[in-house]
Amino acid sequence: MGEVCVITSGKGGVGKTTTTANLGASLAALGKSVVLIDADIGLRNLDVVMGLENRIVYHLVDVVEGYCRLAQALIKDKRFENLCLLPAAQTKDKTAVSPEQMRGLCKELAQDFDFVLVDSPAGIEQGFRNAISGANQAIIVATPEVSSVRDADRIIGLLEAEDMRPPRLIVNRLKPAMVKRGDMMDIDDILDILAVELLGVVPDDDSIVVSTNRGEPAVLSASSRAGQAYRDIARRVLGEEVAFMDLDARPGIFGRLRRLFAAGDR
Amino acid sequence: MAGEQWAGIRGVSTRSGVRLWLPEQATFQDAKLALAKALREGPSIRGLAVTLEAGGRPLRVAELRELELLLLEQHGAALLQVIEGAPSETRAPIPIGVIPEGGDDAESGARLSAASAEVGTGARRGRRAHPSPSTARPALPKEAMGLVGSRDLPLSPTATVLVKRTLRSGQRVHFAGNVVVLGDVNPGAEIVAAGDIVVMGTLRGVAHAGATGGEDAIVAAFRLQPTQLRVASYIGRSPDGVSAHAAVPELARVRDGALVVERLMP
Ligand SMILES: Nc1ncnc2c1ncn2[C@@H]1O[C@H](COP(=O)(O)OP(=O)(O)OP(=O)(O)O)[C@@H](O)[C@H]1O
Ligand SMILES: [Mg+2]
Repeated sequence: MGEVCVITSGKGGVGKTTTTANLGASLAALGKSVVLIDADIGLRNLDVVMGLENRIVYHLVDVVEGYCRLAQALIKDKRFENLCLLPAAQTKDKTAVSPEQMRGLCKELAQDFDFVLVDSPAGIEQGFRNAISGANQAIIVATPEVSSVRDADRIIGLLEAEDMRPPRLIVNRLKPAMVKRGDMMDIDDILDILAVELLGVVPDDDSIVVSTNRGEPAVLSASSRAGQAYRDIARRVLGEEVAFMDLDARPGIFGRLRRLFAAGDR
Repeated sequence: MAGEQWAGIRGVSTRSGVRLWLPEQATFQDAKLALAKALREGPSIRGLAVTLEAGGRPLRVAELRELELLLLEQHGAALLQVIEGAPSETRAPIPIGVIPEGGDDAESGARLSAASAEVGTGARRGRRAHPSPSTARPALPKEAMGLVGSRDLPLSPTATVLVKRTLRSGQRVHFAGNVVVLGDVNPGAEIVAAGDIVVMGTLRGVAHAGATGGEDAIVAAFRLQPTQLRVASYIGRSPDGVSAHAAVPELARVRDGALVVERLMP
C-alpha cells in the first residue's frame, strides 16, 4: 500500500500546487511511482504547472461518475515514466465529489503507486474535506505571514480530529533578507506556534515563476534554489536525514534591535 | 438520515478526543433530540474533548450554546470545535480518555449569575487597567457567556477540566468551572471558564475567566501573551504592534477595580 499525502494550507495562494508538482517530480526522480491528484475542482491548475494541460481527456469527476475507468483518466508525465496526474474537472463544482468517493479513489490508487499526492483547494469547506478524506498523512504549506500561519494552525487543529499521523510543515516563500531585517517571521517564530515537524523551507525564488509558466517543475532545474529545497524535502519524505539548506535566515543584529525598539514602544 | 440509524454509529474517537455527528433532521431541535438520545444510549464521553460535525446545516450561536450545554451538563464533556459542511460518515465508536479530572462530582447545583460589573479596557503590563467610564458598557449579555441560560448546573463551580493538548486557532473550550491547559493556547483559540484558567504553556489566544461574574477569578500562564484577556467583565488587550513579553510565568486578576498582570512568583 502506498502513502496518501494531502498538501493543504487553509490560506490560498501559498504554494500548495507548486509543492505538489515539485514534490511529485522529485519523488519520481528518486525512483518512486507517484500519482498527483488535483482536488481543486473547478479551479484546476496542477496540469498547467506540470505542463500536461493539452493531454487531458478525462478528469476526476468523470471517474467518480463512471464515465471512464480510472486508468483512462491518468495522464503520464512527459519526463517521468513513473509519474501520473489525475486532473480536476474545470467546470463541475466541488460538490460533484463526495469524501467517500475520494476515499475509494485514493485507496485504489495507493494499490498501484508508492505515493498518492493530493493537491487540496484553499479553505476549510467541502473541497478541503474531500481532499483530506483519503489521506493518511498531510503536508501543511505556510508562508511566513501571520495570516498564513493562523490558517495553518486552524487546519492542523482540524486534522487532529482525523485519523492520520501528525501533519508536517513546509514554509514557502521565505525571504532571508527580510527576516534578517526583522521584517518577516522567522522559522522559529512559526514553529513556536505550530509545534509540528518541519519538513523544509523553500526560499522565495523567481525560478518558480519561470518554471510554472513553462510547465516544468523547478526541481528539474539544477540551478534553482527552490528546486534544491524541494529535492531535499522529497528525500526527507523518504525518511532520509538531510541537513537544512543554509538560507541564512536568522534575524541579524539590526533585525533584533528593531524588534526590541518596537517592543519598547509601548 | 434517520435518528435510529444514527444512534447506532454515534461517534469515533480520534487522537484528541471524541468526534460526534449531529444527526441530519428537519429542524435543529429534532437533531438535538436525536443527539441527546444517542448520547444517553451510548458509552460515556465524560471528560472528553468533543469535535462536532454539524453537517450541511450552519449552526447559529444560540444553537451552538444549546449543544454546548447538553454536552457539558448531561455528559461532562467540553465542546472543542465544530466542523461545518461535512457529510456524515459511519465508523464504529471507540471511546478514549483525554481530559478527565474533577468534572465527575455532580455536587450541589451551582448558581451561576451573569456578570454585572462595568466593562473596562486596559493595557496589559501597563500593570493597571482602570475601567474608564467612557468605555464602560452595561453587563455583558448572558448568552455571550455561553455558560448561563441554565440556572442549576450539575457541576460544581470548582470542577476542573484538564485539557491535555494545545488549543489551536478556531478551537474553543467553554467550561462551567476551572480550565487547565497542558499545552499552548494559540492565537485564534478561546477559553471561557466560570472559574480560573491556568495555561501550562504560552497563552496567545483569548481567555475569559470568571465568565459568569466571578471577579476573584484569575488567568495564569507560563507565558502570558494573550490577544485579549477577560476576568468577569474586565477586558484587557495586548498592545498594538510588535511586543516583547516577560519571560516569566504571570498571572492576571482584578485588583482595586482594574485588571492587573503580575509575576506568578514574586
Ligand atoms: N517559492 C516560491 N517563490 C516564488 N513564487 C512562488 C513560490 N511558491 C509559489 N510561488 C508563486 O505563488 C503563486 C501561488 O502558488 P500556487 O498556485 O502553488 O499556490 P496554491 O496554494 O496552490 O494556490 P491556490 O490556493 O489558489 O490553489 C504562483 O504564482 C507561484 O508561482
Ligand atoms: Mg493550487
